[in-house]
Amino acid sequence: MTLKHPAAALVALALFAMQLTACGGPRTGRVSGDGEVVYEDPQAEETVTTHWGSTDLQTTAESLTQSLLASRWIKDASAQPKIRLREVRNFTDEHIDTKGITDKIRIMLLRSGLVRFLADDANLDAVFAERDLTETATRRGANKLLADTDYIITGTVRSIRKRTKTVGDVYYQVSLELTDPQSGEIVWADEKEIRKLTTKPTIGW
Amino acid sequence: MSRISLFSLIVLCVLLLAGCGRSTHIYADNKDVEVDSITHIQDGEFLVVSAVLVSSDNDDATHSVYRMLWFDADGLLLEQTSWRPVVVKGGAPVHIRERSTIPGAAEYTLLISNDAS
Repeated sequence: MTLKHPAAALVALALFAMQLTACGGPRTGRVSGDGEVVYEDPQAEETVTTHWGSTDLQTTAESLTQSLLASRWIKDASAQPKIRLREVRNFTDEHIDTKGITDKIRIMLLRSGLVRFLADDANLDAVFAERDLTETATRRGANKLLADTDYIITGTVRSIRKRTKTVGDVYYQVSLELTDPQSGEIVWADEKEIRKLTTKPTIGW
Repeated sequence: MSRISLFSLIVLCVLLLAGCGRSTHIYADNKDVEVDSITHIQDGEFLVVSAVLVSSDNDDATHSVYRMLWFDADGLLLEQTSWRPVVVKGGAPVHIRERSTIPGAAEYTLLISNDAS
């Protein structure tokens, strides 16, 4: 088919363009709705409230990991020490998922390549269940590793909170200990202190 | 000492200096906070950086954030810390210390920014 008339060619071109528009063309890898949703830097300083937040978790885990890696019990160990995470107890007046702190510390310590981690309380049941399933195919001696903990990590989170009509002040103290379970000796301990202050204007809208 | 030996010595010194040198970068968009000094040591396979931050504002405390980026010898990003809040008051230097936690860090960059809050 040939379109000899210029107007007919123009109409055909316009129809073709409209069809392309209807198809949407290539997708860009982004779908958004009507709401205001944007991605932000997950490691940005977060100061929405004075409650325990992502910045507190990240800075605490990073600082304590750096301190732990600098301790001679880890840094100068002849072989990679085997560590098991125990509970970090929350003595504050708010809900804090302390496992978020220890999980991050464990990830960073494993990335360092200086330590080995044994299954902690949270996933020990899954480990035992898996071992029971595969027990016939493995030697019992291979499971001895589970009892050979060189060190355990324990800790506490505490807070002091004070508030007036216009000022709110919260102080967090996160302390961790590295303990030799055989001797009971605490070989390393360190803390991270955080203070946050919020003020409310006396005259508002 | 012959010219060739002297030339070889100079080249050797330059190569040694190049090998020892580490790229240190500081980027700051906060005009009130300055890096007074920054040093680093090699601790095994890890780098430890110590810096002193000072404020040019003598009256008010400056709320800032900083983060450290660690690069390997090829310039590839190994890890980065989260943004850390720091309060710098005029006349009171603040010492910060950061340690890489992944082996092989050879270069680092210190970023200092305005407090986002």
